[in-house]
Amino acid sequence: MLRCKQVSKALADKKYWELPLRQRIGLRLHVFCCIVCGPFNRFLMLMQDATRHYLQHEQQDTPPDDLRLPPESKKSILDALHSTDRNDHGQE
Amino acid sequence: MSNDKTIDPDRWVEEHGDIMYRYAYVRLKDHAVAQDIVQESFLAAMKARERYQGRASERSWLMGILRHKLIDHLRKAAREVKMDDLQPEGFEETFLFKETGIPHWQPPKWHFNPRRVFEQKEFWDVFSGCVSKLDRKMNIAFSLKELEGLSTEEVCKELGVEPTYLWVILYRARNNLKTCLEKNWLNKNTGKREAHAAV
Repeated sequence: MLRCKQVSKALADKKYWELPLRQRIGLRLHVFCCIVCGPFNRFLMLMQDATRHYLQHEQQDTPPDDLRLPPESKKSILDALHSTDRNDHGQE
Repeated sequence: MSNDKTIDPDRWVEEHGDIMYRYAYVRLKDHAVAQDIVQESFLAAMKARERYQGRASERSWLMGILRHKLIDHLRKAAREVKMDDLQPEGFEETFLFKETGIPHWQPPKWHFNPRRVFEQKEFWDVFSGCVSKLDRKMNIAFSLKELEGLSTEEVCKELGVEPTYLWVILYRARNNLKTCLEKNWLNKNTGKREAHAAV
């Protein structure tokens, strides 16, 4: 039977789905039954799940307006890219 | 295999610029630095475009380049930031920590079920805003450990702290994130309901 400290240490080091299956089963059982470390570690597992979902959305969803590349930044990046492109072709 | 799609900078910036910028800004909390890193990544991609084989999607390839640059930057930032004012207040000596490895018994309660909103894009917009609003030290620790998946040892080495200290920083980061998510998500929905009622 796992102890609270072992469960907390495992969850502090790794995301719960990265742990070996056997350890994961014991850990889930402990976290969902334990009245001492359960609330804390359930919160931790929920935030790990939230982070995993966020990382998937982050690479697919269009960002909200306030987190988009401002037009002047786009222009400055494009200028830098075109200038590098011209230099590269100039050297060929 | 040469891929014509990879050598169009205008399309790159149009299709991937915003996503790359949000990725960088959320972890760096600085518009100018985020823009610089995105630009550096595009320039590095231009130079390496002959090596792009088209095996990964173009976005994954660009994000991979950006991620390397960003982690380098975060490592440097971690070494420069002072952790003194986040002293964990002797929690290591408490009976609770010695027995369970946790600094507090009860985490804060949620006022809505977060799992129910995991499929809503707007929730993740709020999430990205909240990560970028974390205190700089918490943001660095959270970005390196939770978002970029570096090991506890690596993050502790960069921040110059003990693992127990890192756990407390991350615990506080999660609590702050939760408070921010709740406040902003509930506000957003209250605003929506009010707008709906006014129509």
